[in-house]
Amino acid sequence: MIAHECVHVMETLSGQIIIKGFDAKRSFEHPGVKELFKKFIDEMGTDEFKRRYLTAD
Amino acid sequence: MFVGIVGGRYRRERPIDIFAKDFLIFLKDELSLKGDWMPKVKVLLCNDDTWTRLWDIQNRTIPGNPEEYMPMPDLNRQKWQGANGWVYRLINYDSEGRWIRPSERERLGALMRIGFNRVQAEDLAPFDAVIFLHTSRPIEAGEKGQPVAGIL
Repeated sequence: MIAHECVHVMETLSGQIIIKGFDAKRSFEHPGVKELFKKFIDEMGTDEFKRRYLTAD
Repeated sequence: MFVGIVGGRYRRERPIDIFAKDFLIFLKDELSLKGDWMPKVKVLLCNDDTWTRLWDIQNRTIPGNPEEYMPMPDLNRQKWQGANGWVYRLINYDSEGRWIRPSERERLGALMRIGFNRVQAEDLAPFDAVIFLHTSRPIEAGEKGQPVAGIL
Protein backbone atom coordinates (compact mmCIF):
# COMPACT_ATOMS: atom_id res chain seq x y z
CA MET A 1 0.00 0.00 0.00
CA ILE A 2 2.81 2.43 0.84
CA ALA A 3 4.65 1.30 -2.27
CA HIS A 4 1.52 2.05 -4.34
CA GLU A 5 1.26 5.59 -3.00
CA CYS A 6 5.01 6.13 -3.46
CA VAL A 7 4.55 5.26 -7.13
CA HIS A 8 1.83 7.94 -7.27
CA VAL A 9 4.30 10.45 -5.80
CA MET A 10 6.80 9.62 -8.51
CA GLU A 11 4.07 9.84 -11.14
CA THR A 12 3.50 13.39 -9.96
CA LEU A 13 7.19 14.25 -10.22
CA SER A 14 7.78 12.58 -13.55
CA GLY A 15 4.50 13.21 -15.33
CA GLN A 16 4.49 9.49 -16.20
CA ILE A 17 1.44 7.36 -15.46
CA ILE A 18 2.51 3.94 -14.17
CA ILE A 19 -0.66 2.76 -12.45
CA LYS A 20 -3.38 2.43 -15.07
CA GLY A 21 -6.78 0.75 -14.86
CA PHE A 22 -6.39 -0.28 -11.24
CA ASP A 23 -9.58 -1.56 -9.62
CA ALA A 24 -9.10 -1.89 -5.85
CA LYS A 25 -12.30 -3.95 -5.60
CA ARG A 26 -10.94 -6.66 -7.86
CA SER A 27 -7.30 -6.74 -6.90
CA PHE A 28 -5.49 -5.61 -3.79
CA GLU A 29 -2.48 -4.27 -5.65
CA HIS A 30 -1.54 -3.17 -9.16
CA PRO A 31 0.73 -5.67 -11.01
CA GLY A 32 3.25 -2.93 -11.90
CA VAL A 33 3.60 -1.97 -8.24
CA LYS A 34 3.94 -5.62 -7.21
CA GLU A 35 6.76 -6.03 -9.71
CA LEU A 36 8.61 -2.94 -8.47
CA PHE A 37 8.12 -3.99 -4.85
CA LYS A 38 9.48 -7.47 -5.58
CA LYS A 39 12.54 -6.00 -7.29
CA PHE A 40 13.11 -3.69 -4.32
CA ILE A 41 13.04 -6.66 -1.90
CA ASP A 42 15.24 -8.79 -4.17
CA GLU A 43 17.88 -6.05 -4.31
CA MET A 44 17.79 -5.47 -0.56
CA GLY A 45 17.45 -9.08 0.58
CA THR A 46 14.66 -10.36 2.79
CA ASP A 47 16.72 -10.41 6.00
CA GLU A 48 17.74 -6.79 5.63
CA PHE A 49 14.16 -5.89 4.65
CA LYS A 50 12.81 -7.47 7.83
CA ARG A 51 15.52 -5.90 9.98
CA ARG A 52 14.98 -2.43 8.56
CA TYR A 53 11.21 -2.19 8.29
CA LEU A 54 9.54 -4.96 10.23
CA THR A 55 11.04 -4.23 13.60
CA ALA A 56 8.98 -2.85 16.48
CA ASP A 57 7.80 0.73 15.96
CA MET B 1 1.32 37.89 10.33
CA PHE B 2 2.49 34.37 9.46
CA VAL B 3 4.59 33.01 12.29
CA GLY B 4 6.02 29.86 10.71
CA ILE B 5 5.47 26.20 11.35
CA VAL B 6 5.63 25.19 15.00
CA GLY B 7 4.03 21.74 14.81
CA GLY B 8 6.00 18.54 14.97
CA ARG B 9 3.90 15.63 16.13
CA TYR B 10 5.09 13.61 13.15
CA ARG B 11 8.79 14.47 13.09
CA ARG B 12 9.94 11.07 14.45
CA GLU B 13 10.65 8.60 11.63
CA ARG B 14 9.05 5.19 12.06
CA PRO B 15 9.95 2.06 10.02
CA ILE B 16 7.05 2.71 7.61
CA ASP B 17 8.33 6.25 6.97
CA ILE B 18 11.83 4.88 6.35
CA PHE B 19 10.38 2.34 3.93
CA ALA B 20 8.57 5.09 2.01
CA LYS B 21 11.80 7.13 1.84
CA ASP B 22 13.89 4.16 0.65
CA PHE B 23 11.28 3.06 -1.88
CA LEU B 24 11.10 6.56 -3.39
CA ILE B 25 14.89 6.54 -3.82
CA PHE B 26 14.62 3.12 -5.48
CA LEU B 27 11.84 4.38 -7.80
CA LYS B 28 13.84 7.45 -8.75
CA ASP B 29 16.66 5.22 -10.05
CA GLU B 30 14.34 2.58 -11.46
CA LEU B 31 12.31 5.11 -13.45
CA SER B 32 15.36 7.21 -14.37
CA LEU B 33 13.84 10.34 -12.88
CA LYS B 34 15.85 13.53 -12.65
CA GLY B 35 15.64 15.84 -9.67
CA ASP B 36 17.95 17.50 -7.16
CA TRP B 37 16.15 16.31 -4.04
CA MET B 38 13.85 13.59 -2.81
CA PRO B 39 10.40 14.29 -1.42
CA LYS B 40 10.07 14.05 2.35
CA VAL B 41 7.15 11.73 3.02
CA LYS B 42 5.03 10.88 6.06
CA VAL B 43 2.87 7.77 6.34
CA LEU B 44 -0.25 7.90 8.50
CA LEU B 45 -2.58 5.00 9.26
CA CYS B 46 -6.31 5.73 9.28
CA ASN B 47 -9.08 3.77 10.95
CA ASP B 48 -12.55 3.70 9.34
CA ASP B 49 -13.68 6.84 11.16
CA THR B 50 -10.67 8.90 10.08
CA TRP B 51 -10.90 7.51 6.58
CA THR B 52 -14.52 8.61 6.32
CA ARG B 53 -13.56 12.14 7.40
CA LEU B 54 -10.74 12.18 4.84
CA TRP B 55 -13.30 11.83 2.05
CA ASP B 56 -14.36 15.45 2.43
CA ILE B 57 -10.74 16.59 2.51
CA GLN B 58 -9.63 14.68 -0.58
CA ASN B 59 -12.79 15.85 -2.32
CA ARG B 60 -11.61 19.45 -1.99
CA THR B 61 -8.36 18.81 -3.86
CA ILE B 62 -8.55 20.03 -7.40
CA PRO B 63 -6.59 18.23 -10.13
CA GLY B 64 -4.28 20.69 -11.80
CA ASN B 65 -3.90 22.90 -8.75
CA PRO B 66 -0.37 23.53 -7.47
CA GLU B 67 -1.06 21.15 -4.59
CA GLU B 68 -2.51 18.25 -6.54
CA TYR B 69 -1.20 17.36 -9.96
CA MET B 70 -2.53 13.92 -10.77
CA PRO B 71 -6.09 13.49 -12.02
CA MET B 72 -8.15 11.73 -9.37
CA PRO B 73 -9.99 8.56 -10.36
CA ASP B 74 -13.75 8.71 -10.55
CA LEU B 75 -14.59 8.39 -6.87
CA ASN B 76 -17.72 8.48 -4.79
CA ARG B 77 -18.23 7.85 -1.08
CA GLN B 78 -18.83 4.15 -1.61
CA LYS B 79 -15.71 3.66 -3.74
CA TRP B 80 -13.71 5.71 -1.24
CA GLN B 81 -14.48 3.13 1.48
CA GLY B 82 -12.88 0.47 -0.70
CA ALA B 83 -9.73 2.47 -1.40
CA ASN B 84 -6.40 1.36 0.05
CA GLY B 85 -4.75 4.71 0.38
CA TRP B 86 -4.48 8.30 -0.71
CA VAL B 87 -1.45 10.53 -1.09
CA TYR B 88 -1.59 14.29 -0.81
CA ARG B 89 1.29 16.02 -2.57
CA LEU B 90 2.70 19.42 -1.68
CA ILE B 91 5.16 19.79 -4.49
CA ASN B 92 5.50 22.54 -7.04
CA TYR B 93 7.51 23.16 -10.21
CA ASP B 94 9.61 26.05 -11.39
CA SER B 95 9.38 27.51 -14.89
CA GLU B 96 11.93 24.94 -16.15
CA GLY B 97 9.96 21.99 -14.82
CA ARG B 98 12.22 21.25 -11.82
CA TRP B 99 10.61 20.06 -8.57
CA ILE B 100 10.53 22.75 -5.94
CA ARG B 101 9.15 22.99 -2.44
CA PRO B 102 6.40 25.53 -1.95
CA SER B 103 7.04 27.94 0.92
CA GLU B 104 5.84 27.13 4.44
CA ARG B 105 3.09 29.66 4.04
CA GLU B 106 1.88 28.08 0.77
CA ARG B 107 1.93 24.57 2.23
CA LEU B 108 0.09 25.56 5.37
CA GLY B 109 -2.47 27.48 3.32
CA ALA B 110 -3.00 24.56 0.93
CA LEU B 111 -3.56 22.09 3.79
CA MET B 112 -6.01 24.38 5.57
CA ARG B 113 -7.83 25.18 2.33
CA ILE B 114 -8.73 21.52 1.80
CA GLY B 115 -9.98 21.09 5.37
CA PHE B 116 -7.20 20.30 7.82
CA ASN B 117 -7.38 22.43 10.94
CA ARG B 118 -4.44 24.65 11.83
CA VAL B 119 -2.81 22.19 14.24
CA GLN B 120 -3.07 19.34 11.73
CA ALA B 121 -1.81 21.56 8.91
CA GLU B 122 1.20 22.62 10.98
CA ASP B 123 1.99 18.98 11.70
CA LEU B 124 1.75 17.98 8.03
CA ALA B 125 3.29 21.03 6.35
CA PRO B 126 6.93 19.92 6.81
CA PHE B 127 6.33 17.02 4.41
CA ASP B 128 6.31 17.05 0.62
CA ALA B 129 3.76 14.26 0.53
CA VAL B 130 1.53 12.60 3.11
CA ILE B 131 0.43 9.01 2.54
CA PHE B 132 -2.83 8.08 4.25
CA LEU B 133 -3.53 4.35 4.49
CA HIS B 134 -6.92 2.80 5.15
CA THR B 135 -6.06 0.08 7.65
CA SER B 136 -9.26 -1.93 7.15
CA ARG B 137 -8.42 -2.73 3.55
CA PRO B 138 -5.67 -5.38 4.07
CA ILE B 139 -8.01 -7.24 6.44
CA GLU B 140 -10.87 -7.04 3.94
CA ALA B 141 -8.65 -8.17 1.07
CA GLY B 142 -7.36 -11.11 3.09
CA GLU B 143 -10.91 -12.17 3.92
CA LYS B 144 -11.73 -12.18 0.20
CA GLY B 145 -8.78 -14.45 -0.47
CA GLN B 146 -6.63 -11.84 -2.20
CA PRO B 147 -2.90 -12.05 -1.53
CA VAL B 148 -1.89 -9.46 1.02
CA ALA B 149 1.75 -8.67 1.62
CA GLY B 150 0.99 -6.34 4.49
CA ILE B 151 0.87 -2.63 4.90
CA LEU B 152 4.15 -2.06 3.05
